[in-house]
Amino acid sequence: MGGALSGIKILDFGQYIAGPFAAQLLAEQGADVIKVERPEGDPYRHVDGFMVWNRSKKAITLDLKKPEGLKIALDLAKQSDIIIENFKPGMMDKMGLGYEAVKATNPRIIYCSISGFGPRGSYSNIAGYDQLVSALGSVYTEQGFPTHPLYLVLPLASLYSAVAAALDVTAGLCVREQTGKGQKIDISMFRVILGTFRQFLVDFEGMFRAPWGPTGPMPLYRPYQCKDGKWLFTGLGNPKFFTLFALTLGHEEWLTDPLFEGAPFLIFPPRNAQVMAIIKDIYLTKTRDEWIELLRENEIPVATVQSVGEFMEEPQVIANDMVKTLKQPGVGMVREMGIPVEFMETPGKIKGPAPLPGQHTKEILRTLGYRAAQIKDLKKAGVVR
Amino acid sequence: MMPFENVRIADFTTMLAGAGICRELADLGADVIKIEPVDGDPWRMMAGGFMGVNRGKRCVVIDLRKEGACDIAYKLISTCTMLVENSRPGIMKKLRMDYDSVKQIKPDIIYISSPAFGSRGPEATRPGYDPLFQAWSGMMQGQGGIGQTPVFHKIQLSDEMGPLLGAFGASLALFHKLRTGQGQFAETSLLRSAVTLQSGNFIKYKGMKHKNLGKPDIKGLSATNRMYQGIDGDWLYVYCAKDEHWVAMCEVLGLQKLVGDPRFATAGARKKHDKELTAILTDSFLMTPAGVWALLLLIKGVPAARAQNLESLLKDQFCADTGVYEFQQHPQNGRVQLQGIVPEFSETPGKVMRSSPMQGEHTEEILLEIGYTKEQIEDFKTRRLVVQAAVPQK
Repeated sequence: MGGALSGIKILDFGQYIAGPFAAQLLAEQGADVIKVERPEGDPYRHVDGFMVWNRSKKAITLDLKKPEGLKIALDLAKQSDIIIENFKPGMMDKMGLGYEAVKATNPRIIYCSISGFGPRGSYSNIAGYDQLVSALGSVYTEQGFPTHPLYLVLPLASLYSAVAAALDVTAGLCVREQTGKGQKIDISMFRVILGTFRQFLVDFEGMFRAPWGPTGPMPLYRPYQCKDGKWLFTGLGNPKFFTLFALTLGHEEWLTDPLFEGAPFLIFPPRNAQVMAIIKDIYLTKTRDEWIELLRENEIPVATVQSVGEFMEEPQVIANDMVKTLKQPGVGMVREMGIPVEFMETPGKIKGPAPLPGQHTKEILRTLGYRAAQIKDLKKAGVVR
Repeated sequence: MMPFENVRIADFTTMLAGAGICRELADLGADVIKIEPVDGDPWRMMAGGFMGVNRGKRCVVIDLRKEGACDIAYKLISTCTMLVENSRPGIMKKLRMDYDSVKQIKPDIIYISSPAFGSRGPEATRPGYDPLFQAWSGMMQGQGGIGQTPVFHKIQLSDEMGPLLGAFGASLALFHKLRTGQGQFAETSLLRSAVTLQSGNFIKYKGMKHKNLGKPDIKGLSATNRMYQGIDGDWLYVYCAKDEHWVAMCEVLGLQKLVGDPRFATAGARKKHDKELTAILTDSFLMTPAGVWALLLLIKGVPAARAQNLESLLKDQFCADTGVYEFQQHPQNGRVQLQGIVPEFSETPGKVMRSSPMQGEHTEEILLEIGYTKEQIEDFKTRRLVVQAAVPQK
């Protein structure tokens, strides 16, 4: 049995991260994905992540501004189950590839638009760059200091939106399987990133919010530095672990000390600073590895703070098939992420590395009935590459 | 119809990542029944946090350690399409609720498992929480910078990716079941979530160096792609992605003279003189409120936005205009504002069914629904196999 989406055809107009990554996730669960690229190429072609976010696809380069290019795109759309795009709202309509245009010839289409702020409202004309979505979505301010915000290096809004889109498109397929009907699905990166704040983004009388900063407000749930300068994170994820922690450190009195009331999570200012000072000094008495050994012996959750490069070597990561090696043309052997959802009956599969620009143009045009001479003409006219 | 209408889910999850999977599915129409132990989901202590990941569900309390309680759970599962759990490998087996056991009761069950560390490997049975993965996977150091204080992300990174991956898996499995009638087992984990979030850095090839962009006090990546403060103390983000944005920004700031300045004439030149440019722009932005700058820049087509905080976000006019929030009555917390449905489906919009349940709020209701009589339920309650909560009305 192939992947759960075997036989499903996706036309991917995505660029940057969110659109392409959504299509990749679906491709590796069995769908056939065609990446439609503009002549100037996906603006992220030079980024390392491009190789991952565009794996397992076929690529065609089309000039959508030329009538013949548009016709090819519409012909491909007609035989697709899913369209994914993340242009600015209205752009696909302007090009003649909007939902209504596609639906006219293919009413079963599931058409997924990912944009910064969705198609409606006063923010909808703001370009959907990850940074602007994150700024308006409070990500940088909430992570920052009382005096200034902190920029986050991971493009979180794009990454979460990619997986959300993959999920919602599949949900759309479930509907279509039962009703025969396609639909339009709008994913707003802004709504998605707000969703990741769901535990803070709840408001009622008495809801309490402590300022965060780089290391958070929770004295028993934060990174600490050890004697050798290395860092670790002790994850006292529930009251049971706090008890174990106090006993392991020989501080049984903490269990009844009012200073620690609310442990492990709810020790609020000003008590949190007092507890932090106590714990900080304790961690400075041993090296990181000494701490790890002692805490693990007592079954207390703890992790080293390390680099992504070191993480890629972890036997645990490898045992869960999350490191795969692919041969990427022009780069060589590349180690990169595996498939994040694993199925027993319908296993996913990496079908190949990210395609070169226009790598499958000829092959795809042939499936539409174009002959070699016609394809040559289209190339000469700059319609395809 | 909604995508998960007619899909009942036995939700054995606790904390965030697993509970979030079922919340995503409840938003898409699933009938989610949270099966909670007598001592409760530890996440209940986080009032707002618990509501966020458990809204839309009903809750039954079954004490699976008691003789006979297993059969009640089996009877419930036999009415479900799907089971979701996020415990450490081995625990569901001990409760006789693992895939092989459940398949005996319900051969076409879709079983979604989301253990923290994954089901294989030397560390599979360790308890795992989101920040451990932030630390261990490189995200804390990646943000803070090498040799610097690691950054603990306020967004619970893997705990928020886990629900999306789990719900993606559930959707794929449901689609497969609709096409073939076959159930199956699917797995994701916090570990897989941490890799997914770093998909752009989780890469190694000969000659490659990891970029390590993070720094302790980072405000952006360059002078024309970062945050600046306005006179009111608020901040905005400006991103000149193209030359035309740069020229337009200079006009808005009254810095036309910079456009012809050879130090800043090209993207390359601006990069070379990044510090100088940052200093000039920092001074210029300090002259007007941040929100005004953002507006003026947008009018001229320059990508820009205010950096909001949660308080202003909760009152944001755009959010009000486009239905980002919903309001609910909660038995303990009164009127609650929370985020509504995230994806917008043109034909089958999702729906927030109800606020998060009290522990054991729906025990009797659900047992009646699956065919137990009132007498049987009273008997279960007396024997403490199940617990029905007394629900306070506010």
